[in-house]
Amino acid sequence: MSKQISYDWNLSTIVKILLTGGRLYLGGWMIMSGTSYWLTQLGLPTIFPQPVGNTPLSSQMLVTMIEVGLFDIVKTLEIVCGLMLVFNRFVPLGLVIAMPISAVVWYNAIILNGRYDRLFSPTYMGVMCFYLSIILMLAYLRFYAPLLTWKAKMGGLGDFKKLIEAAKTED
Amino acid sequence: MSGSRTISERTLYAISLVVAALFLCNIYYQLHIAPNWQWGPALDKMPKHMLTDFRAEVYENGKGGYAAGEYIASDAEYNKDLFPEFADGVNANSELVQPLIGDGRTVVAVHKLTVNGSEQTVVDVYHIGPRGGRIDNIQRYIAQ
Repeated sequence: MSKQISYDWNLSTIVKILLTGGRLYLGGWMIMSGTSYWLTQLGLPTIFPQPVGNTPLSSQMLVTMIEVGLFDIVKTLEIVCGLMLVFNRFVPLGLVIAMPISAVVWYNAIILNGRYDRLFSPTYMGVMCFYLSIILMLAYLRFYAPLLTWKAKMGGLGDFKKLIEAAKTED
Repeated sequence: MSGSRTISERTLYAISLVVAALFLCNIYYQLHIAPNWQWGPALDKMPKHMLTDFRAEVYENGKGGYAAGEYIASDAEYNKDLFPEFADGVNANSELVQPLIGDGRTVVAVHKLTVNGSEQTVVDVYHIGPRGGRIDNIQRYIAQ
């Protein structure tokens, strides 16, 4: 028997639905972006041509990242974190992976390509992926709060057990 | 609406996966179909890779006309008179003096070009359009 979840139709529920929609859309976008790149690398028909920037600086960054192989890592991580977000597994970790990728996408779109007119465009994932990552991380803030421990002591080997315990936890 | 309701976790998860599938379809449409890509051999390649393939068609396969049609944008800026090899069947040979030089979407080819028996050392500066696009500008400098 599946666990029953009780809810009320109030603001909190609506916000949770919207945040879940954001998680699913960000995950879907990450999966699509990463998959398109790997389809090209495997010589298969791709989803969209890989953008290589509209300005010299943007082009330099993207072409260099692709040519030195860094994009292989980035696009693999996009697929990994996308799957985490879509399937609602290890979501806090998925968002930690998505955040730096989204930040670089935002920097490329706004700073390097100068698209300041689309800074808050809700349909432009070049910026929205970054904002979604921030909003979703705030929604999962309680998982990141321990990172702000003022004076942290080192742990021991026994802490590895906590990784397994955390992976089994439904919270 | 008010009042407490219940829903099974499994149903909720299934709904979320259906929504995710719909989002994926929408994203695929926005990225693959809506832009109306003019697909061809020039697209979705890194600039130097694209130029290498372009040069192979022109100088090794003798298909300069085909290559110009597929790899160069219809509104590209270049002096066609300086590029007699951009036509099918022209006997043109090119030997790179040094490997292609790439800087973002600009690629430079320094080569010894022989067209119909006449050899020149030329520097071709190719600029490639955005989003893995076609060549949109070529400047040719001929060494004296």
